[in-house]
Amino acid sequence: MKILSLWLLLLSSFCSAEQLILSSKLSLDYDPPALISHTQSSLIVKYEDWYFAHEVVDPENFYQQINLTGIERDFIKSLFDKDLRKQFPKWLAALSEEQASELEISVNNTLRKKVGDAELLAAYSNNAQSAHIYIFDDHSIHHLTYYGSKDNYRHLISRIKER
Amino acid sequence: MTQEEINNLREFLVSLFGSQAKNWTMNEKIFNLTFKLVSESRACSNAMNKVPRPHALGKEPFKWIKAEARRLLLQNLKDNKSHYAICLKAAAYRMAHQFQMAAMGL
Repeated sequence: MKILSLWLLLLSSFCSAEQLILSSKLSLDYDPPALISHTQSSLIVKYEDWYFAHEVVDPENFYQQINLTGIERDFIKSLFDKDLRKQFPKWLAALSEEQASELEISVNNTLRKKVGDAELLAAYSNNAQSAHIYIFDDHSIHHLTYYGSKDNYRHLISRIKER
Repeated sequence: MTQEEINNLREFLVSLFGSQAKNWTMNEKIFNLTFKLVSESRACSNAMNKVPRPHALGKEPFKWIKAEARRLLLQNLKDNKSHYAICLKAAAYRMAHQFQMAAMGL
């Protein structure tokens, strides 16, 4: 019995997930990665054959030539909801359509869910084997970029939790 | 790449990705990603006019593109960076993390 307990303890230490605190209300559980890297704006968590990256959306630098400050929430939501573009000036509606096309977001692959009070919008592209996940928190928008299988993508989404 | 090519590539990528690109290592991976970004773009279809056809499918561009064609391509991208930054902005957003990882050798 003691040996069994010891094995279970050792096993749990190898299988335990890490937790990335995204905000005061959100966290992401993740398995120990092959490596973690930090760029100027993003945290990259890399595994053998997949990775995800996290950043907080910066509306001033979303695009170099266009400042989205004040309209970033509506703009990002419009990537997943064409009807929202009707409220935009033509140039912004065109930009939203172009970006949604680049990210391969469509009605068929859009996922919407709530994480506590936060709204999550995501889309996985089978063609690109990648996904873009946006979580609308109280004061910020979190952007997760994901490369890997669809199963892993679903697993990653399920590990975004309310704290 | 020559120092001139490195400078041209960096200047072009800064116009697309901002100040973070100033610190990127301009390596083969970065060049290959830039080639992919530009060649796949429908909005910037004239950007690849300087690169002879056909393109070698499945091979890394840095390995098959001749030095002079590479120099001309990077010169063109840098000289017209304002134009390309506009037509490539959506694709650049999509590929940003790939560039960040390539710059770090990941």
